[in-house]
Amino acid sequence: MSFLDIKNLVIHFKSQMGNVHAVDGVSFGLHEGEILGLAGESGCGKTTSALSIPRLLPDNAMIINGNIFFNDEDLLLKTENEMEHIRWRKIAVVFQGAMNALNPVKTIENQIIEPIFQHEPGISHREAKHRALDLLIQVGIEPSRARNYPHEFSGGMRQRAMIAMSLVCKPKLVIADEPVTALDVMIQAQIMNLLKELVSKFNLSMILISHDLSIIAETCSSVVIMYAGKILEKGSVSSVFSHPAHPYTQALIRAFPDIHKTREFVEGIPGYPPNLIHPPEGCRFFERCKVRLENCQDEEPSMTILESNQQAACHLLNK
Amino acid sequence: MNDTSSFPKQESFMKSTWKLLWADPKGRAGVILLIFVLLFSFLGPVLFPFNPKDMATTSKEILQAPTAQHWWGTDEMGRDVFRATLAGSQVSLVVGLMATLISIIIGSIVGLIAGYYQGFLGNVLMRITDFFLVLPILPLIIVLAVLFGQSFTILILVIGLTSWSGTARIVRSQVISLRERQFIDRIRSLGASDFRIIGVHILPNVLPLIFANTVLVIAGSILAEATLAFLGLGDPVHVSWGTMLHYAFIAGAAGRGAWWYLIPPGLGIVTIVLAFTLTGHSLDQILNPRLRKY
Amino acid sequence: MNPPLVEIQNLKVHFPVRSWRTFFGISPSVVRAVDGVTFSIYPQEILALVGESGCGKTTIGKTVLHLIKPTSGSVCLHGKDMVHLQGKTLRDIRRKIQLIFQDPYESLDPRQSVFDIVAEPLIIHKLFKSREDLEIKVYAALEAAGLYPPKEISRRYPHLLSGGQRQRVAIASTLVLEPEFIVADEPVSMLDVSIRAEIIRLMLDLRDKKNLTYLFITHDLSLAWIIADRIIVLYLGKIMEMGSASALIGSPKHPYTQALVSVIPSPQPVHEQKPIILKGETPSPANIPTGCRFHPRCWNYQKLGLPDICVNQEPDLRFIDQEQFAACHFS
Repeated sequence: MSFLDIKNLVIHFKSQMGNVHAVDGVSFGLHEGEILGLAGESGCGKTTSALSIPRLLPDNAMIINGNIFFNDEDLLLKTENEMEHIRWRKIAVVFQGAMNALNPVKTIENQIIEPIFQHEPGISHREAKHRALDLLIQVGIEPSRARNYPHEFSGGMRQRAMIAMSLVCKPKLVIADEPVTALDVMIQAQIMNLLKELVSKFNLSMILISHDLSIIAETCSSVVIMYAGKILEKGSVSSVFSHPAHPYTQALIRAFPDIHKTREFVEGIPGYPPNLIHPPEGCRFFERCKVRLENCQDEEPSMTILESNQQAACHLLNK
Repeated sequence: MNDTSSFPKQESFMKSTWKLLWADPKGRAGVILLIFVLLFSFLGPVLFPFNPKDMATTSKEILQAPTAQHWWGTDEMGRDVFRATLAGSQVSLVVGLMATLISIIIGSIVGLIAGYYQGFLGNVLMRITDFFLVLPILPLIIVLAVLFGQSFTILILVIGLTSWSGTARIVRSQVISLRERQFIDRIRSLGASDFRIIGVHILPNVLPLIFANTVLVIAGSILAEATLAFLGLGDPVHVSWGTMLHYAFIAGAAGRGAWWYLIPPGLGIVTIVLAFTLTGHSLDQILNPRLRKY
Repeated sequence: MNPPLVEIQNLKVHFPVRSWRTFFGISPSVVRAVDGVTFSIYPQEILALVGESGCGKTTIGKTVLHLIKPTSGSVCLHGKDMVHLQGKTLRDIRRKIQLIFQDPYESLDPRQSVFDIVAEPLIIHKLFKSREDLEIKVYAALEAAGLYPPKEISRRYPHLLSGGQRQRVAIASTLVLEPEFIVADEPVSMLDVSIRAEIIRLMLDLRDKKNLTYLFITHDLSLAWIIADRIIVLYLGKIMEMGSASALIGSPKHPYTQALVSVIPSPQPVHEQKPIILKGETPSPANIPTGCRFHPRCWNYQKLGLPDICVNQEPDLRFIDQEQFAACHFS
């Protein structure tokens, strides 16, 4: 049984110009202990899909359809009260730009202790502090620096603090939204390594959201490629990246320079993602696709299962 | 290849601001009140002109409660309060607007220069601003009134001179943050002169803020005029609402129960200040760069 | 080989820090952002300045553009000193050197239409004869930057354009003055990956068509690898290694470069290579280590048993082979 199973998730956003079809029928699952990469460019719906799990979407978001099965319970059927018990204790989030989301007037230690008290009200101060300091050590911050304020921490250290904060109530699932995007490449490597260690040490499951396919390739075991609110390809990282089936995946991989290959110029994907207020009828990638069969513009392709560990939504695979 | 036709139609800045203003309940109330106030003060005196020499001939007509002839009653000289109120509205409004003009012009220029040139010049300007910030309006106007007599012009000058500091500070902080932005760096690297940078790039970006601030300053100026006039420091010839209240009080209107003499100018002041304040606050929220959408 | 277009000699840019702490000597009082950098840029080459945050690459870029005054050292264009220029000569030089910024959302004045943005350089330098002439030049620049139809786009305002389009507008505004040399500071890092290649391709095409030279500043070593002819790796204000892109990435000679190259993630990872993940973070440029500034984090320093020379003596940038230079006592 899957640890997390999302089926047919549809989320629209209310806006002045109409409803934005941000997520339009997304299904994927996660096994316990797995790191799943949710990949795609800006506006593809990856953050919206992931944040719907702990139900942390903005006010103008409407979850129209779908089920999110977590430990065999549908999270979308739970009340807000019930969700509050699940957030942080079962499902935690490391937000994008987390480094700048720390409260500048509170010490790091206090900020890590705060969620403990909020979600486990009966706990003693001593135990909470002990847990916080222990976690700081786990993420590579010396306990002597716990009393520092965020501005005394570098970007990398703040990100580590945010990770510690997310683990403080011992969740089973952690959603990391672009955790290393604004960091230097060496710190990126450190933090990604740290995340891998923490996942195995604490037996976590993780959804890693990123636009950077290279990071996903090096950290995750499975990947979901999203585009314009739909999943175009998903499967194990080894299958998808070594023989990508969908033209978008192929093009996207080619857009990342690979120093292990010959030194040749990368290719982009000309054009823009479609307008999600009036999404196109057929395949959403049609406009920018190099293939373009006859039925691509009118008929939306369904997921074709390829090998045991790969699926893609493309008419090319049905021929 | 770079087809941009799928992008939404470009809406002018003014139009989108107006739409947001109207959508905000505060803004809408303010605008409606403003329209009402402006109609009142511009059409009113044309339709119902006030003749200050048209006084009572009998004692019965003095401080008379509203009748069919005098809709809002009469004052202590037997003059029609309704027409007096209409005439007074123009004075209140004009003094407020003129004072604001002075205030905004000085404040914006000082704010622009102090914000862009910081350093020594900026410091000097800010100290001057601080001086005018704490300058007490009442003693100043009394002294000037003694020296130059009470007038409309003195009022405008004094209110203008004591209120520009607020604008200067707001403009300055906005200019400081603008000047650090990347597009200014870029323009500078193109070789643009300071003059050009301030005039073409910084000023247009500060203008919305100045505009919102202006509306609020108008409200403040009108209130300042009303207060000073009420205290008897207004122009004796151009009677504003504040002056009306002053005369009403002297005539003992409160004690004699002549509510019709007190309420119109009083309510008038409240309405006009409210109109500008509501609109100004709403505009501030819309135009304040901190809250901009893009 | 052609004479260099730009020559930078022993450039130092130090920023004084003033606070009560520095007054009492508790904290260091100088931030040594650029601490003695020497290199040349040759005509029509693309030279990449690579390094992590705090290495000084952006500061060097801004100094070349005359936006920051260096503390010491020289910057020469066509052999003539640029640092002490003023007035008209400065303005003329400014025409020849242009800048593309990182953030396409921040580098354009939101109050100006695309036309105004692209026309501005011409207006500042009075390089047009009439309104029609101005229009011709602006539309030509927009087309060269890949924006069609130029007339329609010129009427729009930046906030209605995508990141990629805005960057093209920024590029068009540099082209309009027919520059020789362009400093591009992270020009694509804020754009979606699928758009990046287009903008870079545009820059490369323009290099060929308009004989441009580029100083390409980025933290992304793999991007520098595919674009640049030569790469300079900076750390805490000094050059650690300099060489042709393929040589530097293919066989890096400096321990810092070796570590950086080993951690570059790739979409199709090769698992034989073990990444060298450095411990800790780059120290602050206000507190630069003695001797070789990299030694506290250097894995080779550890491996060789903490040799004294690394702590006591700052290594010079030495010629290794075929145009590869490294500043290390042991490479």
